Amino acid sequence: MTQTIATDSPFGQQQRILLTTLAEWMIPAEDGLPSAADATILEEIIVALARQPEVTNAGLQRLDAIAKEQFRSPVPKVTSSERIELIAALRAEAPAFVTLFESTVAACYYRDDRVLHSLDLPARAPFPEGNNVRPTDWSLLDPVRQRAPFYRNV
Amino acid sequence: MPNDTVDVLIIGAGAAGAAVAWSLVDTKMRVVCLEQGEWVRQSDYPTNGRDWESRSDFSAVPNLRRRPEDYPVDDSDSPIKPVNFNGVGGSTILYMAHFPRFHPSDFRTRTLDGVGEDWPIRYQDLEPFFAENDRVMGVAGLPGDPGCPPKDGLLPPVALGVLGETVASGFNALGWHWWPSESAIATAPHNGRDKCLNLGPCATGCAQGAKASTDITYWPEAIRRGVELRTRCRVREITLDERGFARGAVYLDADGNEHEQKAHIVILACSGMGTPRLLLNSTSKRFPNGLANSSGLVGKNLMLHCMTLTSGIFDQPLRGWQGPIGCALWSKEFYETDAERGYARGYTFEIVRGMGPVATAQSALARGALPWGEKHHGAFRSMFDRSASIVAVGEDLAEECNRITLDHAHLDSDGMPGVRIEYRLGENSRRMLEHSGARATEVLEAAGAVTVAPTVTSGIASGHIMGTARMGNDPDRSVTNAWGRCHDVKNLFIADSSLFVTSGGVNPTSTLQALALYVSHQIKQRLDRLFD
Repeated sequence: MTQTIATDSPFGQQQRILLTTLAEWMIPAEDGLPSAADATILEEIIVALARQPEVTNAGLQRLDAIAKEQFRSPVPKVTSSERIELIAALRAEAPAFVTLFESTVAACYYRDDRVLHSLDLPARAPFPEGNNVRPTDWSLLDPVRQRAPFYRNV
Repeated sequence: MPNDTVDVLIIGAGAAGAAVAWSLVDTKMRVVCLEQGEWVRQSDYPTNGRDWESRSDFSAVPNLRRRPEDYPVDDSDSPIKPVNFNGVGGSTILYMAHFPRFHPSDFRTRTLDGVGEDWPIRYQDLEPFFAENDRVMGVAGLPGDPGCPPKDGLLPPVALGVLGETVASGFNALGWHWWPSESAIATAPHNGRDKCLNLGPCATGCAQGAKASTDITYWPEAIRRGVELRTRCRVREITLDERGFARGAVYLDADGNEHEQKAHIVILACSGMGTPRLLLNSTSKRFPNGLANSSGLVGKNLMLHCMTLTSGIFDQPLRGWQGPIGCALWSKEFYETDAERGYARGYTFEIVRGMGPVATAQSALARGALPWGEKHHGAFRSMFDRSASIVAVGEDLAEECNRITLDHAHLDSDGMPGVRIEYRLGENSRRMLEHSGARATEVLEAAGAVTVAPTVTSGIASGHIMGTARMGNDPDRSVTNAWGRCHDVKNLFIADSSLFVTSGGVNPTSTLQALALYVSHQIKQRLDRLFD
């Protein structure tokens, strides 16, 4: 059985399991909010990470190796206390991957409609609708208006 | 006959080149502008899509953007990271449109404060060109600021929103100056542009076209009146004739074909980074160290502004993701020199509105402030839409050791050297940074911030690239004369922020455009004796 799923993704089943596990660890579900491992969000994460397969695959290999070396366990089976140590070790040994992964997960998670609605944000592009900013009461400037000009007029 | 000798050849179609082209159409001369980048379509800007916070193709960092027209910038030896955009409109495509003018004292720092050099011109010389530029660009603001010289013709000010009002209350509590920022944003319909919709992230381009980038301000009229603008034309070098006059420019088109465009007058408007790059790359027997570089100052005296970023977290929503991100209010409280502060010159405080959710999460993760796991959601909710930031833009005193050189190890897509930045903060800047961080913290606390993060002083991006071919009256101490003509080459002009003698403590676009119009005006006034 091949590890490559029926897409152009550079990630096989094992890599997808690792990415799912990491995404779940990073942003778990809470009070109606999806986790970052939610199927819709995860697919976006995988598509985005596929643009940098070398960094991602190297990072996942390192993750797998650390789990086996330090905890004698596959990544999904490490305990919650071991998880903290594992992520810290990964951060130290594969910083480029962790930076990429965190940035990618944030980009995909925080544009999901469900997440945006929970933050009271419109689930749409800024243009063309735009946003309303309340008019300013310029009496706020009254103390400043009482000041004489203080720039040096040379 | 595209490559016949033309009257004027402008290189660069950004903030300065557009203003020069627009100004010179009065002369009826044949004007051609070569631009290494392309036109940008408003429909391509990130705010048209749901992924508006994640796109890198409109990043201001050229090494991330990596368009074919970009050139490599090695900024590893600089705590401030230069940013730009290469295309019609130049860096006005991605600037925040914060549009202060230099102050009168900025032109007289040697006389007033004993530091830097005096400019060969004064604020008053530029004043009519500031006003002309404001009319074309469309500038929002409120008359009556006691911290700045008077001006009129402003569009209605950009609304402060909850975030701006909150921070303003902090300034009021301390009795310190603040005023709504002058912003190159159409808050009402202006010259065919519709008004601002408060999209938020002006720094990735304005899909509405309310922000004044020169592709939609100066260029349409300049082209309509006869200027020829050629895009995807990367100039490699300025050529010389046997008299030592500029003959024209050798450039590569989009297909890599080499051409020479001859001209009677050549005007460089490639930015404080692109102009010295081109001059240094234009070597000859007469100018082995770079064109117009007998002073040795081409590329030197680089000024990027010393900056701090101080952020506070508040316990109520600030709606900071709404409205022009870089334009709310400014403070000139610490702009002018006060010897008791322990440094010369000063800085402007500028308030930055909050970020969207993706940028909030990414920046917090990058600094280790947003945990993984069950505490993630609570931590995110405590910071999103609750953050306000104060940026201090401080005057950067020119030093010859701060410079731009050619980077032959990193070439652009046409094989031309990239640039290397060598830059350090001077002692005066360090003291100013310390002062500004402490004062910004006071403002945020007075405004009700629950926590204020340590001030950030390094790694800040700056599109304020100045001073690398300064103007002056002494050919040994400057690259051009007082009206932008190179001392060494009498038909070669510079019209961008390379000319700056000092940096001021404000964003430079308004001043560099006024200066470009001033140089253009001087050329027009002297056409019968231009090369004397």
